[in-house]
Amino acid sequence: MSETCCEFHPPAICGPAKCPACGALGKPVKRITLGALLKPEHRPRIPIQEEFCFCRTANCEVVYFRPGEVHFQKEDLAVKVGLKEPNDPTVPVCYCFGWMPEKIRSEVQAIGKSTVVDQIKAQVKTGNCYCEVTNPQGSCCLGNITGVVQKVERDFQRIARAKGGMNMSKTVLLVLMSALAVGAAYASEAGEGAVVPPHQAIVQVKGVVCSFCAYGTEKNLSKLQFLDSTQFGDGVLMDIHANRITLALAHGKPVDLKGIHEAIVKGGYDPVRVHLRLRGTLERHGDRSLLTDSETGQVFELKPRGPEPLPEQGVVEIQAHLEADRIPSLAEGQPIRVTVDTLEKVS
Amino acid sequence: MSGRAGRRLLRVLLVALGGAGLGMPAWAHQPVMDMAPRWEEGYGFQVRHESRSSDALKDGDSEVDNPLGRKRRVNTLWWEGIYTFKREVRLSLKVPWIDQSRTVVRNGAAVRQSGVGWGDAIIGVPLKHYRNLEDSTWNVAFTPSLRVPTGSTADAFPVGDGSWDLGLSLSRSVEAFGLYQYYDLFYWFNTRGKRGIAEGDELGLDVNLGIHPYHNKATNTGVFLMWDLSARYQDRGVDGEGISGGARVSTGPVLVWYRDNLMVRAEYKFPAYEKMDAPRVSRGSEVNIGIGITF
Repeated sequence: MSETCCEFHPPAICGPAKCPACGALGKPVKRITLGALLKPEHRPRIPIQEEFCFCRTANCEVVYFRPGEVHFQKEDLAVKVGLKEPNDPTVPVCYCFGWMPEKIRSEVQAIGKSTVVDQIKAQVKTGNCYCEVTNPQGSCCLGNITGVVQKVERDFQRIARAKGGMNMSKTVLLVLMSALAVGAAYASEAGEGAVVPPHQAIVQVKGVVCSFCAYGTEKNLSKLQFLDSTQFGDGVLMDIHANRITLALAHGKPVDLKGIHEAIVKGGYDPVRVHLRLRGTLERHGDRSLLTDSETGQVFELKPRGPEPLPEQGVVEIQAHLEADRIPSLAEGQPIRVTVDTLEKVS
Repeated sequence: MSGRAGRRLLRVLLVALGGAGLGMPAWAHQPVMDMAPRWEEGYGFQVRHESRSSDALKDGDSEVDNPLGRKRRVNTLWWEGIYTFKREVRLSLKVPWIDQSRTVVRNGAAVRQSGVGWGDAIIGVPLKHYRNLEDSTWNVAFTPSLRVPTGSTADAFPVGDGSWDLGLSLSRSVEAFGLYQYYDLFYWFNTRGKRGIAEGDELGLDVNLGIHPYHNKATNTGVFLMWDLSARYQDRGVDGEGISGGARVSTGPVLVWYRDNLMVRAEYKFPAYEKMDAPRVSRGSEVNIGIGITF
């Protein structure tokens, strides 16, 4: 089996064909792709032809066309088209394996690089690739994925350089200013926006800027029983660029938030907040929304972040956070109150 | 005694024994040990080789002829240990193994003198106040130190001076991801020792400014590049070489490499300014190489 799932190349009928709306050259796509991805009510409108064109222009509403004819637009598809939603990090880039910019960025933030291309290639080798019926462009996503990975890694490196790799003149200026202004350490950037991969927790920590200095914190954390020590060497990844500590969580073991808090404080630093990804059953108890984690049985009381109410019930996957200063006062056996950042209803 | 208290005491003893059995600095500052361990019950060891030599004779701030070949060479291996009770309170011990020689003038003739052995130990209690910010951390420390006359005064170039000395230091360090700063202002109250040695009190300022150009988070490996500036002013006194005292500024680059809990530090300093209270051999250039580990 080839490493890519792109061996199929439909006839290039779109080669000279331009999108009637934006004028860009189209990319060939087979009829089966339209059949799989259009909303059921639009499928009868698919012309009896084998080849169509896919418009790759981000700000063009047209998705499928034939020379001179617009056939289907964005709203006609049952899925969002990644190439046409460049500012939405939750729209997949790889439809077969669910990779989206948000997830790629999260991985890069966690380990400094992306493994997505290798992972997809490995899946392709095992034959688990169905681009024709999952990807609106009807072909392999690796080119798009590579573009996203490069952008995410460039952004990550630029932020790292901006935070750390300042040029010498700025450094000297900053040194002088700092030396003169006793007590003035740096203005800070809150660590908002962490995206938590499955089976990980991310802890925003004040002052973690040197891994040698934070060795004791890592050592303390690595002793926690609910960590998966097969990840990151000891289950703990220090990210001194982002002042974050990522914890790899063992399957089925409840997260000991007090243990995390104590390990970091005794390590000489101050936790700010803990970001968690939870999946489980949501139920309403009076005016409280309780989520029981399907793997660990831990119960969380969910508080919506905005005015939008939470669903009454169902299986949901959420990303939530908890301010660290509340952790010491958490009561044993009581639901852990967290603020929901994102919620996705699974069923 | 509880098991935990016992373990803590054992670690303190281990550090103390490790320091005494292996190895002290006249340096008040300790940049690496300033950075770590900052965690409760953390401890660490550092071995540092300091080498300096000179055959430049100075009178005031001028170099003068040295027809009799006066010179000095000092090699010191510092054995250092530290224990952190909690982030605000540490205990440090530094003991030097010294191998040194000098050529002095006695009755109009050059005489070579040497000395080898354990020098005077320094016990310090760094008391720190930490402040962690979103993407930086800083601390202010007050460190009382005691220099204990553990070194012998028997050799012609004695490795100890036989006096009990008190040091007080006020320091501040700031760490951000890309930048490291350390400032230490200290004062040694030197008391009269044996064999007529009576060194004057010493005022010092050490500054380390550095950048953090490389860090690999997958392996917790990185590099600091720093510049060290050390300024000293010592009251007029007397030691085995003659009248002591004066002012000096030495400066130079520092390279620190670390991986997990292991750190290696290499440093070169040259005298940028020296002014002697009496004709005396320059302190000369210094090369420091050290390795430290924390637990």
